[in-house]
Amino acid sequence: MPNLGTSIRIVTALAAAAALAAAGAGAASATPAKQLTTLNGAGSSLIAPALAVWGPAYTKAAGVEVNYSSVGSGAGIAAITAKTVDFGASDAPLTPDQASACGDCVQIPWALSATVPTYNIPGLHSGQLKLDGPTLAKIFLGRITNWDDPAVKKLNAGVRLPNLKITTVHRSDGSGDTYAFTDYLSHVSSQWASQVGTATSVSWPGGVGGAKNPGVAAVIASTPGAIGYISVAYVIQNHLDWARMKNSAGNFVLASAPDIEAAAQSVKTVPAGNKMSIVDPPKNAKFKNAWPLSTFTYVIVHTVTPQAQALRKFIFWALTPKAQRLINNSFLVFAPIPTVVLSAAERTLNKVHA
Amino acid sequence: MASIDTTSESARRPFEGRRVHLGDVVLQGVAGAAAAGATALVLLIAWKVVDGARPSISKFGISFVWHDVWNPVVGREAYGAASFLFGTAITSFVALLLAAPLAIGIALFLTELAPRVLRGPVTSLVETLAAIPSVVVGLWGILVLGPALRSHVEPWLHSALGWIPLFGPPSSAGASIFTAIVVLTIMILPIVSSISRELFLGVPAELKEGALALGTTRWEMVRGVVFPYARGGIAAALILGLGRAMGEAIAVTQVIGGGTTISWNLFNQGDTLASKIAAEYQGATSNLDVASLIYLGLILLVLSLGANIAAQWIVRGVARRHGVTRGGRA
Amino acid sequence: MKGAGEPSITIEPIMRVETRRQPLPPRERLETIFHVEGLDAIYGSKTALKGVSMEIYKNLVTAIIGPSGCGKSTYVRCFNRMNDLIPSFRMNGSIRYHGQDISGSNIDPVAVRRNIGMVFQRPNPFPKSIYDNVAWGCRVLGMKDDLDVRVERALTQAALWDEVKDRLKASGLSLSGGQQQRLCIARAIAVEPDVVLMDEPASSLDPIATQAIEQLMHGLKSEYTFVIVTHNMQQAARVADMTAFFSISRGEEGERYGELIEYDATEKIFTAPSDKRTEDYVTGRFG
Ligand SMILES: Nc1ncnc2c1ncn2[C@@H]1O[C@H](COP(=O)(O)OP(=O)(O)O)[C@@H](O)[C@H]1O
Ligand SMILES: [Mg+2]
Repeated sequence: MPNLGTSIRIVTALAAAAALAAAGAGAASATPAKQLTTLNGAGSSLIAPALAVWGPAYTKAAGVEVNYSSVGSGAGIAAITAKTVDFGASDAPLTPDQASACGDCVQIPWALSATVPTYNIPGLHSGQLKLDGPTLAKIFLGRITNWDDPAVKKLNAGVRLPNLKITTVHRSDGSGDTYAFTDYLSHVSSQWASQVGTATSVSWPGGVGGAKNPGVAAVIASTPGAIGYISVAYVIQNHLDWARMKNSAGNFVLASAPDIEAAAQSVKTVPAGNKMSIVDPPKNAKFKNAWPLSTFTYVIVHTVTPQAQALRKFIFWALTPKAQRLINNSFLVFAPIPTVVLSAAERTLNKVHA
Repeated sequence: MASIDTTSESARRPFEGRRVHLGDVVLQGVAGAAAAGATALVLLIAWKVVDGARPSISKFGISFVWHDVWNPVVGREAYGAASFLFGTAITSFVALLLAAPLAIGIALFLTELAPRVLRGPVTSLVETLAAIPSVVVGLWGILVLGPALRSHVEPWLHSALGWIPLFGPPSSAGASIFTAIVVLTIMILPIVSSISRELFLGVPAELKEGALALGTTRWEMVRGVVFPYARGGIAAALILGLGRAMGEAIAVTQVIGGGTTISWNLFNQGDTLASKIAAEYQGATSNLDVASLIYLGLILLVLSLGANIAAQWIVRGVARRHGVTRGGRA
Repeated sequence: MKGAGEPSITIEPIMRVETRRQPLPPRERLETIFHVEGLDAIYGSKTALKGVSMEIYKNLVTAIIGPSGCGKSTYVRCFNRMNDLIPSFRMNGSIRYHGQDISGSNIDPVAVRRNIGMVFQRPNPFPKSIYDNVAWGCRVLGMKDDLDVRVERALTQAALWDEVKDRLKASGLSLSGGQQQRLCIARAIAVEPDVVLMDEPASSLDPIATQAIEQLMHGLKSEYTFVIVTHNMQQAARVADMTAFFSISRGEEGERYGELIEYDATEKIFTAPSDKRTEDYVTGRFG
């Protein structure tokens, strides 16, 4: 009978061997020797509808297959960190710890979308409810608790708001939407900034959590008086009601692609890590219709990767106006990336090599 | 020839010389390796969990267990398990409390009382319940069950039993600790009832006949003979159910509504150790976040192991009290 | 109950069968407790017993003997409606108990069993203490007064008291096989039945335990009526006043069914049977 120490070492060795084998298998599947190159990606569910369009189009254009699993931004970051995929996708920029864990990873903004406040108020259709940042923050801080609150009424002259308790709904899992939403609230409410802050997952002052977009949508749908936030594409595809938001120009806007594109015009320079916040863009005549809850979504790749050439080509292609137009329609609502961001993205992309 | 000599030698003294039976050796080797492997695996997992939680352990120490805070925002990170521990305890215990009489009742009905034509179909129906993936149960929980409980059951419980803190004002959304409890009840029901059913079936027919022959009714027989005989096994089954309830993550994540405050009102939102880990592990944003989630996992591991050891201890204790280890199907 | 195969019976010459029986009282002094008439016992489509008619007398020991599978167990389990537990079972004919037919579906088997107790082939004590094994039935049936006295009396009557009086709290399962069977007898008589049915009560016991049980039946005869199934003919000869011999017969289509062949005073059955089949059986010519 071998002693325990030996057994543990043996089992550890076995486990390690198994892990290596699995990793090897993963790498093998990521680098097939067939004539048709395959790129594997995973992550954000927000970008998944875009990739569903891009994938077939790119296969047609370049003969390269693109597989994408919509596992969520966090899982996408984990997957690219572990190199089980060729690219990850995330709606929130990498945190410092995530960046260091990922090693030589770079994040490249490759699509532009938005999160929208979604509500369930009996009698109020989509776009009929108007809100501004400070009011939204107060609602989520639990300081406005009823829909007939004077602050809400003041924004909605002419609309009959019911005497109905407000239930706030948020994502219970870490999410890029939560990042954009809390980023916005931090911009418009100093109390939010100091008490809660910005992250993919925060310590909520109250409210109900739902798992992923469908979970949040389900809670809102079954709860009169509920308000939450969901990616715009999901909201449109599922015919949910969403609010007009007052931007810093003083206009109430509705998160159409031009509104989102306008928000992105606020970007003057791109910082080294490509981490950009375009929520609550300042007042400016050029983008007076800017949607204040817009967000870039990122593709994450390793700088040194065996698939460098194929990846570079694919991402370049995705950034072209033609590809960006493919995902900018009444269903998908991804706005085209502004030029300054585009050139930063291409600069970053050029660093990727085999 | 030497070989002939040996043959005649062993033929004369047929019982001498221990022969090595290849089958026995192989069996012994395989079984031994499997046992050692299983033990090593448990230790390895435990060690991995402790190792992964280390940054959080060294930062928060044991007070992590009773601190009620969870803030993953970079720059103001603070983590503690109290509200999740509370959520795990209250959901799994209340679910067990609801499931136990139901499951035992179903098992009893199926083994002793139901007309024979009903037994087969009802048994497979209950067992099918166990086969429903938890994510589907969770979806049903948030789409159908939660809203129904919120609109019909919670207000009624509140008006009838509102003086008990557990039945506070109804939740506004269908997601609540109460919904999680009902979902967990449904999930552990088939486990407990099918183990109980097996236990009841394992009660020797002679014992039941012995009781009935005294002129007792079926129910008296069940109470006097079937229950005592199966008691230890049922206790163990209940603890297994408790373990399942404590460990269930996906379905709970979907229906419990998330929340980091400790509230005695079952109609409020909450979180359990498992549901918190399931919800946030993939999206954890910092090393301390990851370590703290693993720390939650460590606490859950300790609880589950404790429950398992308790189950084994109960089974042994009952076997001892009966004087004989009999019918040890548990 | 079946399947173990009937042990081959090596019966000693009839003359040497010792008998502790007192002579039977005259027939007219005997009180009928069961009046069985035209009883058929059927499992699904299989007839186990056909056309059994006989009377069983109060305060006697009546033995049921016969080859394996002739329906002895089936027969005694008719008296306390134990066969009701088998869904496919039904019976025709009548069993009158003190004049009342207890075979119909309008009869509550639970009430029947309160009057007619049973001891089984394999000792089946409950997983409870020795005391509770005896006391449980009394408690459930509402005989809660003087429980200690009842338990002691039942254990004494079952000739077990001296052996267990110091360890009443010990598990019933900790006893030896013979003690367990006596505990089951104590359990059955503690609830004061009128009749005690015994289905091969000694078949799994050693000779000493068997003797103890036979002796206690003798002692209790004045209080109870015993019906005992046995395939041990010496045992029947030793304990029974009346003996019924059952055998397997063949029907027109070759189907096998159990049948009562002969029923008489034990003395007569073993010394001067009137049926050839009985004689073959009791002399061991039939296995
Ligand atoms: N539960 C049952 N279902 C069907 N047939 C049975 C059942 N019990 C007994 N039998 C049949 O009835 C016949 C008599 O059996 P039994 O009364 O046990 O005989 P004995 O006790 O004399 O050995 C046998 O042929 C047996 O196969
Ligand atoms: Mg029998």
